[in-house]
Formats: sequence, structure tokens, C-alpha cells
Amino acid sequence: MTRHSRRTLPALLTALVLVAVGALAATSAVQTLLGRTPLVALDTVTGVLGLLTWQAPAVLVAAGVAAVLGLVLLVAGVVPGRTHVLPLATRPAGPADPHGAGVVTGGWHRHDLATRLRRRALAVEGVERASVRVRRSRVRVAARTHRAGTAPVREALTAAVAGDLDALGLARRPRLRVGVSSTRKEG
Amino acid sequence: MARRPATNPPARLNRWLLALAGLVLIAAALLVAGIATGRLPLVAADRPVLTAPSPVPSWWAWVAAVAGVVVALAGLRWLVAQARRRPAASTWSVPAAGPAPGTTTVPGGVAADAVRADLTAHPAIGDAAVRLVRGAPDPALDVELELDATGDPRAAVAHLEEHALPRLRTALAVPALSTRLLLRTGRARGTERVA
Repeated sequence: MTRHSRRTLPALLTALVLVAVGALAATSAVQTLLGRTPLVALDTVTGVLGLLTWQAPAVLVAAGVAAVLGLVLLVAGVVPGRTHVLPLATRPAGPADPHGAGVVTGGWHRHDLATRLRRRALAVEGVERASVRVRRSRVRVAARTHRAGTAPVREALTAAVAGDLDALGLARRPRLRVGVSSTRKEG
Repeated sequence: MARRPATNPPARLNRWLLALAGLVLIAAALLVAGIATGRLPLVAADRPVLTAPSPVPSWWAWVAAVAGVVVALAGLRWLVAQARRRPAASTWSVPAAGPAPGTTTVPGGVAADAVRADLTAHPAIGDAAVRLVRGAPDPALDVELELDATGDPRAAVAHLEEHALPRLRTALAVPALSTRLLLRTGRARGTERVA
């Protein structure tokens, strides 16, 4: 199972703009109908648009902004983006399991995987700080230790994280890269 | 053909609407560019963008009010849709097998609660969210397992596959149950250090 971004942020922003523009238009129109001073007068809007020609710089700039914004929204809608879920190895239906008893499709959430591996890294003796970045095909662990010799810590860290990666049941185990630096200064 | 339920809501809705909004903006920009350069001879390029009578007729305000309300409500509906992050639940309905006509309907939550109880009994599973997302005759289950930070994921998945799912299949009397699983991890258990 792969799961791509829901595009929540651009959707939220676009929806908020729609709500704001709609509410402003409706409020102003109702205020005009009730004979009160509107937030934005319809006469002002039509007056401004009546003064601008199709070749006016303001109109062309607005069209340019709309084109760029439209392209960004179109790309956000069409491009799948980075996967948020790393697929699990699932058991295919076979002679022993003709109905596909197991999970048809499954996966690990990438951020949760990073959290889990980071906790695993922090449990290693000598590791003070650790950060983990999980990509589809690569896991990168960067750790800090107070010890002068980083090699033993790196070895223990690699063994611990690799062991956990093996136990996750991923369809494709990502490559592991471990870096350990020392907080103690040389000399 | 019936539309398949969304497996990762509201991704499909967001992507469709974002693409649509993008296309509308690009089309508007192309329209302006076409008229301004004279390639689209709908209006003369030196004419005003809008020729409105003065004063503006009162029905324009009515149109603006209705359009504003429609746009604002559509935006609000889109905002509310962001809150639903899991597939919609379904019910389990099977026609009576006997001579008397009838249908047995079980709310999806009843079956899901039983599976959840089965799953959370396992020590590696901190919590579980289960939802029947498609009913008879081809049921589908959506499962999210919250594992302990040190919990064994293979044991948790095996528990689901070999214990919880077979029990649900037996209860629903179905040979197969299509299941989507998402593994998550949250709470830590212990901070012991290892060499």
C-alpha cells in the first residue's frame, strides 16, 4: 500500500479563500440591499472595472498572478508527491490460503517509522541525540555521542536500527545509513 | 459501475478540486491574455473589462448575494471535509436465506468493535481503529494499529491475520475479507538502554 499526500494545506488555504471571498461578497450585497453602508460597494467594483481596459497593466498583472497560482494548484492536484506510507510485505493468496486470509494491503506511516527508529536509536548506550529521516528507499540516522570514539557507538547503533528495520515486515527494506558525531572536542 | 469508496480521504476530493481551481484560474488568465493581445477577438482590447450601467441595477446585488452564499458554503463544505481522515463506515446487510423474505442489517461499528477488542488484547498493540468500509457481498475492512514503540510489528500483524480476521470472517460467514492495514506507533514503553 502506498499512500500519497492528501494535499491538506493547499486545500485548506483555497477553501479559506473561497469562504472569505464568498462571505465578503454576500455580506456586501446584503448590506447594499438593506440600504446600509456595504463593506465593499458594488458601485466601486463596477466603477474600477469600468475604468480598466483589457490591456491595462493591472489586469495583465492579475492575469499573470492567476496563471502562476493556477499552475501551482494544478500541480498540487495532479502530481502524486512523496509517499507517506511504506508498503508492508503481504501474504498473497495461495493453495494453503485460497481466500487470501491475510492483509491484502498494508503499510507503515513514514513519520511514525522515523519516530520508532529514533526511539530505538536513543536507547543505544552512548547516544545522546538522534534524528532519523525515512525515505522510500533510504533511512538516514544521524546521532551525537559524548564519547570520543564514535566507531563502537556507530556499530551498536547500526546493529540496533538494522535489527528493528528487519523486524518491521516491509516489502522493500530501505538502505540504512548511520552517521555518528562526537560532542567531545579533539585534543 | 459503482464508485469505489475513498481509501485515503479527503485526498481524492482535494486533488480534484485543486486541479479544477487551477484550471479555472489558468483559463481566466488565458482569456485575459487572448483578448489583450487580440488573438481572441471576443472584445476589443481597448474596451473596459466591465461595462455596467450607472447606477447598478438592484438585481445585481441579489445575484452577488446568492453567488457569495453559494461560494462561501462550498468553501465551508470543503473545509469540513478535511476533518474526515478515514474511509466512511458501512453496514453489513444480508438477505434472509429462508423462505420468509427479509434482510439482516448489522451496523459496521458492531463488527468493528469486536475486532478492536480482539486486537487490543495483544500486548504489542496499544490501540486499534477498525472500520468496515464495504458491506456484503464483498466486504472490506480498514484497520489502523497503534503499536507500542518497542512492540513487535510482525507479531501484531500475525495476530490480526491469524486470530482477529478469521474470527470476523466466521462471524460474518464470508470466505474472504479484503483488509487494508496501516501501522502506526505512538507511545513509548520503557527507555532502557542497550549496549
